[in-house]
Amino acid sequence: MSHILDRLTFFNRVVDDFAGEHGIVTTEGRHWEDAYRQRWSHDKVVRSTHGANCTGSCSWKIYVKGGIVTRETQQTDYPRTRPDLPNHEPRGCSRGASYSWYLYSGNRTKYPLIRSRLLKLWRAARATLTPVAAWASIVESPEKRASYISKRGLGGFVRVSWDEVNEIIAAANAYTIKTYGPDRVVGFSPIPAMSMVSYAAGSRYLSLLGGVCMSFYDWYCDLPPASPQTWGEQTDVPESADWYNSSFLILWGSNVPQTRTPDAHFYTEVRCRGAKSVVISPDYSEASKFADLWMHPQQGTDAALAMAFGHVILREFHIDRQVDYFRDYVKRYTDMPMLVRLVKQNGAYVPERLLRALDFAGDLSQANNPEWKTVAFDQQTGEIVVPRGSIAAGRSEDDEARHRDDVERQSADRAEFHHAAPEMGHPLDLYRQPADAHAVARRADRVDL
Amino acid sequence: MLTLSRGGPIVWISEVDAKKAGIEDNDWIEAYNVNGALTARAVVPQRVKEGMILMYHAQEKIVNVPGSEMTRQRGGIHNSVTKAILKPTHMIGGYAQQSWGFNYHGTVGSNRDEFVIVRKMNRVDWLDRPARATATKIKLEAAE
Repeated sequence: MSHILDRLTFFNRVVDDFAGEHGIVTTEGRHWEDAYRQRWSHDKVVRSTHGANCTGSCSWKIYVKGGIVTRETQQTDYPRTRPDLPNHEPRGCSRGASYSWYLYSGNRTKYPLIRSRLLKLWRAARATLTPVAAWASIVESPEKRASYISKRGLGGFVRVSWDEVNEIIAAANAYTIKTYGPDRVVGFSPIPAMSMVSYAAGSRYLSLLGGVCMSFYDWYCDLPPASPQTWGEQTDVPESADWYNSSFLILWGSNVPQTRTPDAHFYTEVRCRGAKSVVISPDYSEASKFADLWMHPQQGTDAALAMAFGHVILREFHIDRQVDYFRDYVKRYTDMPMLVRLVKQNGAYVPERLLRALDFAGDLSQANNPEWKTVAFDQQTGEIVVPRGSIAAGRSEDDEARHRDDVERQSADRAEFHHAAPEMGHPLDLYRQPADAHAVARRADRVDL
Repeated sequence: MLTLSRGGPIVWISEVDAKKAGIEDNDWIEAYNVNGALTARAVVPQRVKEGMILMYHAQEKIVNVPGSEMTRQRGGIHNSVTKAILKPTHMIGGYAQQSWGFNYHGTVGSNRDEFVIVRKMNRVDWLDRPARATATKIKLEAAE
């Protein structure tokens, strides 16, 4: 019977009861249940990830119906990377699994929006003026300017076309450049991890304009300057799977299970293997559970704690006692062996800046970029030398030639490694039957018969 | 994601501090200082130490955020009570590997721990009146 007729037979629907009228048997249609079934139906599954500045970049199955994402589940086809390393899976997190909510959220901004007061002023001015003159007429009038600026934080946005809003932006930028200079146009571009195209568009626009292209580190305030200051490299760190190769981990300034969810299992796994861990966190966070020693310094004293670490390390491995492993590490990987200029201050010498080739007579025979080359003392020859690897490396022809040699040698090394590495199948191969297993079984059956 | 938790912004406050301030778990609280104010629900666990409150950054400010009694505007996020200051160690150098490099080395802001005052909200105002009425009220108060 049709759904409408079903609704009309409301009083005739119950045909029987059971359990002392606690349950009823009806002739009601069950079409309405399809709504729930269809919630999970789909006509195709595509592979994607979440471009939300999440470096997890997990692979996801996206279930699509009629061009609409109905849900997402974790992909389970990550290859094994090393025979002795745990699998990367499971990857993905609850945030990823609910990402399609954001896709269709009423709060998602999909079109340009502008404060309606400014748009009214703009359209009135544009009726008679050229774009830059129209913008000038608005911002140079204290009353007009105040009329829309005073409404900041109070909503009042309306949708506007890309053409119109682009003209407003262009007019405003042209006005600022004309009046104050191009370096007064300052902007942020979306980070490359979210969209390379958006990032390139914004940074190119600001660069060609002569404006100031701010870094997203300026935006988020999370630049790790200690890395380039100490190693000359920034966040060039191994992937999280490499935690598994460690025997001692310090976790500071991160809540791995919450913010690096798909990688957190490597932390758990290496602890099962015997690694010790210190977690520094103000609260007993999800990460603190990893800790053999949980440290929770008083607010505002994290820097003092770090300085104390540095003090103990230098005192015990470099000053009172010299430990080969430590000295070898700092000599090879940090700027510690580079010479520092000493200057007299209050009757004593204190360290100042790093010495550079430029500070020496004849620039230490460095024709290219001597101001960028830090120097060291060669114990074997007793001479001041310019080691490779300073920031100037690769900035001159001879450096570039050496760099090319390095790259060629490294790729040769890599090729050798791959040749020597054992065959690595898919992790699920362990559980899979060989493709012809079924056929083999059938043949065996026949033999039995 | 907040809908998978408490459905709005939260601040963690220790059992000891919450008791002193007359705050119970899930109460609406306001945290404020010279920088600004924020509103959130209190989570009263054994997870944070006495004398400290904690708020995770970048909680969405799109749903379930009542107006602040201090600012009379909707609001506040973690940034409202903190401030970014320039860190002196970012300013050293200017040569060799310590030279400015885009996304690499330079003076950027640095967030710090801050002192805040936390109190239970007297009145949870969702600011559901039309925007015009709110705007007029603020304007009048500003004129006074």
